[in-house]
Amino acid sequence: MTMKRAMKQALRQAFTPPEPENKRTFLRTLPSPRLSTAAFVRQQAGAVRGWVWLVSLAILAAALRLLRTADRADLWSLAAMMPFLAVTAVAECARSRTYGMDELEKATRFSLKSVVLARMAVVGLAHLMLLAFLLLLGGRVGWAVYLLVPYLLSTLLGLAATRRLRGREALYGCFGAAALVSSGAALLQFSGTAWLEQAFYGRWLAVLAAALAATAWESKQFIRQTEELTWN
Amino acid sequence: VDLEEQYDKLYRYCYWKLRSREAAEDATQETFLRFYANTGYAERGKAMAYLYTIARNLCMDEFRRCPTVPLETAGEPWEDREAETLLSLSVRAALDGLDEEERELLLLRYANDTPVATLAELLGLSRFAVYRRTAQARQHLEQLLKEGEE
Repeated sequence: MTMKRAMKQALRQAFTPPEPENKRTFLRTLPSPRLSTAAFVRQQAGAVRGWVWLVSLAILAAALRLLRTADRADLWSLAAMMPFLAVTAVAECARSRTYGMDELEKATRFSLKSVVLARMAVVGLAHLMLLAFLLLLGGRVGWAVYLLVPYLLSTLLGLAATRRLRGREALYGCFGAAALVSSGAALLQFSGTAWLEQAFYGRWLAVLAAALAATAWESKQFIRQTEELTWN
Repeated sequence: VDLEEQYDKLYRYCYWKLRSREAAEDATQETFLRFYANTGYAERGKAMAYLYTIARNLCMDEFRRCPTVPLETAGEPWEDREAETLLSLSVRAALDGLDEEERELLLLRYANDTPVATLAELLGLSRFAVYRRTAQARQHLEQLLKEGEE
């Protein structure tokens, strides 16, 4: 049984109290608690999907095995793994777009922009620490360049793909980018040129700088697409 | 529910408990301050039920401290909607014939649009009991309105 509309309206009116006097002043000065940045980042780290960490750990385990011998051929194998590490980060950051939730998340309490930034920071930092750990353990800090180049190139292509594609296609785009870069590393290995010799180190550094700049630009565009919805 | 809407609902609730604008506003503001002092809760949702619980306790304390305060005359912003105003005046008169619990239920359910689940949590009742008591309060109110017309 539902109450008649007029009766409901009358009840609402009958219960109307006199206008409060200090409401505006009080609400303006109300010290509402805010979540600290550290707590927010911790919260977002907890929301990163398990397979992202599992893939990262699997790559770490495989890399540790390769580092036992630590010769040039193994470095190529390591470099070929990096794109798949990168794809986990990109897929995590593009999760909302992949599942068509981005418009909704642009208007939620924690906007998509802040969520994506926090997750980028969490996964990106975790991967950097993983790389640093690997290289320090193998005593090959100089190899960082050879590993960061495929990582950044995959990130760059993955972000570009997710910016242009939607839904599952974006995910396929990420994996396609990773496969492309990974097979590029394999092609370089068997091209007949000793790309890892000291003579080419300067070129690797130049490619790294370019990849870094392009990834930074692409990330900025990606973040710009996640700006909050504004009304009027 | 945004902060201003929460404030309005709590203020309405406190006003009908305490029957004084100043006391209701004090209780509303104290409710918010206590709510936000407990920052852990603020992140977990179900804020309205918790706010009502704090407000209810504060109003009880205030009522014990100062039990007799006359009901002030509320504003009359509906002069151009005569029929509704007349009905609401009759309803207001009839509300005084209800007991405190019935009035509280009708206010929360129909004036503040409180969901039944929240009401059940607040009043420590089952959902079924909330439905039943709300229906009883409504019937009592309708009976008082009929008696008023005669």
